Amino acid sequence: MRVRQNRDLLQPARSAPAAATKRVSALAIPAWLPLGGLLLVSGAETVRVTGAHRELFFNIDHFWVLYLLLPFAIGLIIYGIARRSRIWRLGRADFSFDNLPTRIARVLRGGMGTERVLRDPYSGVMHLCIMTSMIVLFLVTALLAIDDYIPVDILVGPRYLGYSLVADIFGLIGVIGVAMAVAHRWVRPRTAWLPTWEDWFIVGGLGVLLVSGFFVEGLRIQASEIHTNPEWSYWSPVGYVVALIFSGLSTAAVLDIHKALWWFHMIGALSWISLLGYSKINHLVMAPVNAFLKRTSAPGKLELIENIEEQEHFGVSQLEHFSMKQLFELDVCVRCGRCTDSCPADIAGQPLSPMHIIQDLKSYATAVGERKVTNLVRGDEINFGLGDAPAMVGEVVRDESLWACRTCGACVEACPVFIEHIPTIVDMRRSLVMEEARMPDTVQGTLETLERQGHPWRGTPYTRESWMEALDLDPAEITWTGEQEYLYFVGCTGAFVDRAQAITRSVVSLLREAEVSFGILAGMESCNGDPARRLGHEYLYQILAEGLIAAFDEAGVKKIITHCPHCFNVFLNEYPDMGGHYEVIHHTQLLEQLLTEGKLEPREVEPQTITYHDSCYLGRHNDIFEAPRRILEQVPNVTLVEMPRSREQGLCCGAGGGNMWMEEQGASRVNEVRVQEAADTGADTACTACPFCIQMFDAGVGTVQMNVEEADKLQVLDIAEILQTSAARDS
Amino acid sequence: MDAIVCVKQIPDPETPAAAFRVDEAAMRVLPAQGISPVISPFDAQAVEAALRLKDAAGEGSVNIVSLGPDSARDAIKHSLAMGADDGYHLHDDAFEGGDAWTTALALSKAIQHLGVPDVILFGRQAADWDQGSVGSIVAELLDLPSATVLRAVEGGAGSLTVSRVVGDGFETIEIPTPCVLTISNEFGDPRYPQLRQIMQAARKQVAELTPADIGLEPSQVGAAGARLEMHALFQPTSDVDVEIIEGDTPEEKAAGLVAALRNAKIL
Amino acid sequence: MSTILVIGETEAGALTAATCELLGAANRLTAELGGDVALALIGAEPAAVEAAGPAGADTVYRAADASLVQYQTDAHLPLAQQIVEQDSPRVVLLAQSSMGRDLAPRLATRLGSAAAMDALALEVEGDRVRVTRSCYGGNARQVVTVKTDPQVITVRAKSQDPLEPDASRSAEIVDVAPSDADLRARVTSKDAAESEGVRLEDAEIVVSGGRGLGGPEAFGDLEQLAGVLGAAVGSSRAACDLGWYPPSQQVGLTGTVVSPTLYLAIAISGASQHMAGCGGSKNIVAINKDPDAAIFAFSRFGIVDDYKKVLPALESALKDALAG
Ligand SMILES: Cc1cc2nc3c(=O)[nH]c(=O)nc-3n(C[C@H](O)[C@H](O)[C@H](O)COP(=O)(O)OP(=O)(O)OC[C@H]3O[C@@H](n4cnc5c(N)ncnc54)[C@H](O)[C@@H]3O)c2cc1C
Ligand code: SF4
Ligand code: SF4
Ligand code: SF4
Repeated sequence: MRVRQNRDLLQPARSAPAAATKRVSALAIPAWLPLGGLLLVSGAETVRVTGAHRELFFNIDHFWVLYLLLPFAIGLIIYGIARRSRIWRLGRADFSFDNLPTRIARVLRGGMGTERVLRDPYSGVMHLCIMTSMIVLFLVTALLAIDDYIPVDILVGPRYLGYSLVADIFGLIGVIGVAMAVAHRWVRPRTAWLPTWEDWFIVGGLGVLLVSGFFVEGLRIQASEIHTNPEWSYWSPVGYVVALIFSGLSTAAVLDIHKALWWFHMIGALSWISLLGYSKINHLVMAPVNAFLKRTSAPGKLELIENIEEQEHFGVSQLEHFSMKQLFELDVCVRCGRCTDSCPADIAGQPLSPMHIIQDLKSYATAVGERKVTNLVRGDEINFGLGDAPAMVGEVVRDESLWACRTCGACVEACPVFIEHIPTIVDMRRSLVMEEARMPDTVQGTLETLERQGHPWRGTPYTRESWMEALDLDPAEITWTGEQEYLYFVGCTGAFVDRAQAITRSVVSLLREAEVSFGILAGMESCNGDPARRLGHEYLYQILAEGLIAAFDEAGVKKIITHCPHCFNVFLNEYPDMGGHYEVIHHTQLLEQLLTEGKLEPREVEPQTITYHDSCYLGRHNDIFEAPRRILEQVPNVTLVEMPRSREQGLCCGAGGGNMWMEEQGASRVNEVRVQEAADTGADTACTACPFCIQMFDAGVGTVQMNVEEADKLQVLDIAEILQTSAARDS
Repeated sequence: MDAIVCVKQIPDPETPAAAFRVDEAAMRVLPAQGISPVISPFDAQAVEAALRLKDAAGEGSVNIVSLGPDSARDAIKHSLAMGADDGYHLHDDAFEGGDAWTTALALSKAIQHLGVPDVILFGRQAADWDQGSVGSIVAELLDLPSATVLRAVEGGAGSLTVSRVVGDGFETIEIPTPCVLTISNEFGDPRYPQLRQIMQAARKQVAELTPADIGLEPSQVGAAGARLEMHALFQPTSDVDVEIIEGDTPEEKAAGLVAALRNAKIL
Repeated sequence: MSTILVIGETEAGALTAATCELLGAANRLTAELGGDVALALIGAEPAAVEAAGPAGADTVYRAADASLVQYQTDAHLPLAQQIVEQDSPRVVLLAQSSMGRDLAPRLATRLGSAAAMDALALEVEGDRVRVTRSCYGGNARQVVTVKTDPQVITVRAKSQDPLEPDASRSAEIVDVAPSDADLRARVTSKDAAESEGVRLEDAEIVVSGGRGLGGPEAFGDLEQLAGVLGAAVGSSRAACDLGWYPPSQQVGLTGTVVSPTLYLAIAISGASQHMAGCGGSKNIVAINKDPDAAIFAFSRFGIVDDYKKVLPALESALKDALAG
C-alpha cells in the first residue's frame, strides 16, 4: 500500500499585515525584480507596437489605461514576493557563497541553460519550446519598444517583415510547447504528478494568451494590412491564416472583436505575469537564484551543528529552525515529480515522496508561516495561537517518510531547480531522534550499540580482530606503527559482518601483493560516527568523530584507505568540519592506481559478464564512477554490462541513510528492485564496492532468485574480491 | 507518588561472547575493548516503571540510588536523562568487594536516610551477578511488603496492582505502599533519553554518600561485611564446534538430539 | 534437627520435579555432611506428603492449609522461618522457582544469613556447600560459599538428579500450625500464560523457521512443536517477506533480538542479519539439509537432513522425553 503524506491538515492561510518583521535582515528585495519589471514592460510593449509603422495603438482608445495597469501588475508581483519573503526570513541566515565560479557556472548551465530539464526528452523539449518562445517574444518586443523610442526606425521594410516572421514562428513554438504540456498532464502523467488548479491555470493561461495574441494579430490584419498591403501580411503566416477566418465579417465587426480581444489579451497578459509573485511561474527567476544558492559541497554532506551542547533545539521541528535557503527552496519547487520518480523508496512503493515532502512543507509554510510572521510583527511569542496547528514533523511530514530516506541523492541529482532534499529530511530526522527520542526500535538498538560498543552491529559475534583469524599472517605485520604510509580503516562493517570480512581480507591481500605500505588499527579502531549521523543523532556522531580524530592524530595518521563508501564520504567531506583533515582514498581508486602503475597484474579469470552497481556514496556523492569500471575493464575475460539506471542515475541498494538497520515499510524492498535490474542485464556477477550494498544484494538475490538454480544465481562480489581472484598470488 | 529506584552499572550484557574475558586469578571480568559499561537493563526498566507511576500520579519524585565505583555515576546519569529527579551515589572504597547482602544493607540505610518513599524499585536482577536478591533483602531490612519479577505496575500511593511473572503464567497482586518491587524484562523497553535531558543530566549534581553518612561502619559494608565468599570465577568451556547428530533414520537423529539436549541439561 | 532442610513445592497435589531433585541433592550432600534431610511442605496435600519419604526426606514439616497452596510472600515467609527455627538445619535448599527466588533472600535475611541463588552444582567442602552458579548471562561461572548459617541456596531446575523413589523409605511427619500472617501483598488472581502470548524476546525456548520451510503450512508444525516445548515461534525475514509468518515474529537485525536458552533454527541459513538477532542464545540447534549452511558455525548441535522428515520424529521424541 502506498502511503502519502497527509495533505488535509492545513488550514487556509491567515492574512497578515504587510509590514516587515523584525527579522528582516539578509534577504533584501531580491535582485530579480528589475528583471520582472522589464518583462512586464515588454509585455505591454508587444501590444502597443503591434501596429507600428502603420498605426500605433491601432483601433484602441484609452490606451493610457495600460500605463496605469502596468505599475499595478509590477506592484502585485513585488508585493507577492515581498510578502512571501517574510516566511523565508523566518529561517536562519546562513548562506555560503564559496566557490563562486562553480555557482555562476551552475546558474548559467543549469539555471538559465536548463541542463537538467533537458535530461527528460519529452518535458525537455516541451520546456524548451515554452521557454524559447517566451524569451524570443520578449526580445522581439523589447526590440520594437527600442525601435519606437529611438529616433531612427530600424524595423522597416524587409527587417520589419523578417521580424514579423520570427515573432510568428516563436509564437507558434510556444503554442506547441503549451500543447505538449497539456498532453503531458492528460496523456502522459508522471507517476508522481498531481496537476492542480495552479498547473492548469498557468499552462492553460499561457495557451489562451498565445492564441489570443494570434487572433488580435489576425483581426488587425483583416482590418488593415490584408487590404492595404496584402504582401506584408504573408510575413505573419499565422496571423494571416487567422485573418482569413474573419474575411466574411464586416470591417466594423472585425474592429469591435479586435478591440475586445485586444483588451482581453492585454489584461490577461498582465494578470498572467503577475502570477510570478504567487505561483510556480516564479521559477523563471527563482530557479537560477537557487542554482546559485545550492551548496557546492558533496550533495550528501550534512551540516555540522556547532556548539551542539548550547543549542535550544536539535534539528528542525519548526519552520524557523530551517535556514532561509531551505525555506526559499520550498517555493522554487515546480512540482515536476522528477525527484519522486527517481527516489528508490517511491520506486519500491514505500511511504516517501521527496516532492511531497517539499510541497507539504510549502503548504505548511503558507498556513503556519504567515501566522508566525504576524506574531513576530506584533511582538508576540512566535508560536502564539498555533497550538492547534499540526506538527510539522510527525503530521505534515510523517515519521515513516523521514525514516524511509536513503540519503541517496537521486532526488537532488534529478531536481531541475536545484533543491537539496537531503539536509531538509535529515534535519527533521535529527529532531525526531534528539528532540523527541522517537524512532523505530531497531534504530534505537543501533544507536545504543553505537553508544555502548562503539559499532552499529548489534548482536555481532565478532571482535575487530576476528577477520584476521582466517588470514595466514601475523597480525603484527599489518598493525599500524606510525611508520606506514596509509592507514587502512577497516570500519565496523568490514570487521563485524562476516560477508564484509571477506572484503577486508581481499583488500589486505591485494595491498600486500602490491607492496603498499599500510597498517590497521585493529582493536583501537572505533566507529567514525557515520551511522549515527545519517540516523539523525548528530550529538553521538560528534562524540564518536571527536574520539576517532583524537585517535588518528595521536597515531599520526595522514592518509586513509577505506573500502566503505560511507566511511570514505564521512572522512573526506565531513571530518574537515570537525577538524580532521586527511587524505582519503577509496579502494577502487587505489586499486586502479596500482593497476596503472603495474603493481598489480590482472590475470585471466573465468569468462564472465559483470554489471557494476554504483554505490551512492561513491558515485553520486563523490563522483567516483569510472575508477571501478576501469578496473573491471582491465580484468581479462570480463565483459562489463550496464544496468539502465547507472552512474549519476544509479538506483540505491536500499541501505543508505541508516536503512541498513531498519525494517522497510511498503509494497516491496529497494534491494529486490535493484537486484532484479541487475539480473535483467543477464550478468553472471553483480559487482559492488560497498560493504552495505553487498549485503543488500545478497539478501535480494535470495528473494528475487529464490527459484533459480544455485549455479545460475547472480554472484555478488566486491570489486576487491574480483580483483583478488585475478591479481593476487595468495588467493 | 514518590519512588526510589536502585540501579547498577555493569559490563554490557550484549558483549559478544568472543570479547568476554575473565581474569580468573583476580576473579573479575575484564572490560572488553571499546565496550562501555551500561545500566543493567532490568534497572532501566525499573526506572521506566517509576517514571510511568509518577506520570500517572501527576506528581511525585523519582530518585536514583546506586552503589558502586566511579562508573556507577553513569547509571545514575542515564536514569536522570530518562527523567528521574535526583541521584545519590554510594561511593567509598569501603563499599568495594561486597555482596548482595552488604549492597542491600547499604541501600536500605541510604533509603532510610533519604526517607522511605511510596515505592522502591529494582530490576529483577543485576545482569552481571544475576543473583536477583538485593530487592528482596532491602524489603526484609525495611520490613516492607514486596513483589518480585513484575511485568506490569499500576496504581498510586496507597495501593498498587502488579502483575508477577511466574512459571506457568501471571499472578495479579494487590500490594499496599510503601513497598518494594522488582521489574522484569516483560515490562517492555525503557525510553531512549532525549538529548536535552542527557545534557541536563550531565550538568546535574549527584550527591555522594559514604558509609558514615548512612550510619554504617566500614566493617559492615563491602568485602568486610560480606556473607558470601567467592572462590572462583571462570568461563565455562563450551564446545565451539557444532556436534552434528548422526543417525541412519530421521527418527534416530531426532532421538539423538533429544538425548544430547538432556545430557547438556538444556531440556 | 536435620542437616539440610528442603523447602519443597507441590503442583496439582504432587511434589514438583524440582523438589525431588532437591531431595536427591540433599541426600548426596548429607552423605558427606552427615545427618538427615527434612522437607518443608507448605500448603501440601496428603499425596505429596506420602511421596516425600520415598523421594528422600527423613522428616516432613507439613503446614497443610488450603489457603497456603498459592504462594504468597507474606504467608509463606513466617512459616518457613518458623520451620527453619524449629529444625535448625545447616543448609536450606530451595528451587530457583518463582517461589524460591522470591522467598530465599528474604528468608535468609530474616535468619541472619544470606542466599546463594541459582546453583548449577553443589559440593561439600568442610561444613560449607560450595555452590557453582551461572552469572554474566551465562558467560561466566562463579563458585561461592555462604559464610553464615544457615546456608540458604536456591538450585536451578534439572541441574540435580532425583533419587530413584524408594518405597521402603518413609518420613516422620511434623505438623506445623500456621500462625496468623499479616498478608500485606495479596495474590488476587492468576492467569495461565497464553502459549502464543509468550513474547518472543522473553521466551526461554524459541523455535524459528526460515525460507527453507517451503510454505506457510510448515509454520503450523513449528507451532505444534513450540507447544510441546512451551516455546515461542520466530521466523527469518525471508519467511516473513513471503508472508508465511507475521513480521512481528521476525528475529534479527531489523527484527526482534532474542537470547533464549535454546534457539531451534529450522531451515534457516544463518545470514549475519539473522544471527544478529539470535547469536546471544545460550544454545543454538540447527536443522538444515545443507551441511555447509552458515548456521552450523553458530550451533551447539545440528541435524543435517530434510526438516520434513525430522520434525515429526523430533516432536514425538520430545513428547516422550518431557513426559517421562
Ligand atoms: C538490511 C537487512 C536487514 C535484514 N534483517 C534481517 C532480520 O532482521 N532477520 C532475518 O532473518 N533476516 C534479515 N535479513 C535477511 C538476511 O540477509 C537473509 O536474507 C535471511 O535471513 C535469509 O532467511 P532464511 O535463512 O530463512 O533463508 P535462506 O537464506 O534462503 O535459507 C534457507 C535455508 O533453508 C535450508 N533448507 C531448504 N530446504 C530445506 C529443507 N527441506 N529442510 C531443511 N533445510 C532446508 C537451506 O539449506 C537454507 O540454508 C536482512 C537483510 C538485510 C539486507
Ligand atoms: S535521498 Fe534518495 S531516498 Fe531520500 S528522498 Fe531523495 S531520492 Fe528518495
Ligand atoms: S523538488 Fe525539484 S524535482 Fe522534486 S518536484 Fe520539486 S522541482 Fe521537481
Ligand atoms: S549502501 Fe551502497 S547503494 Fe546504498 S546508500 Fe550506501 S552506498 Fe548507496
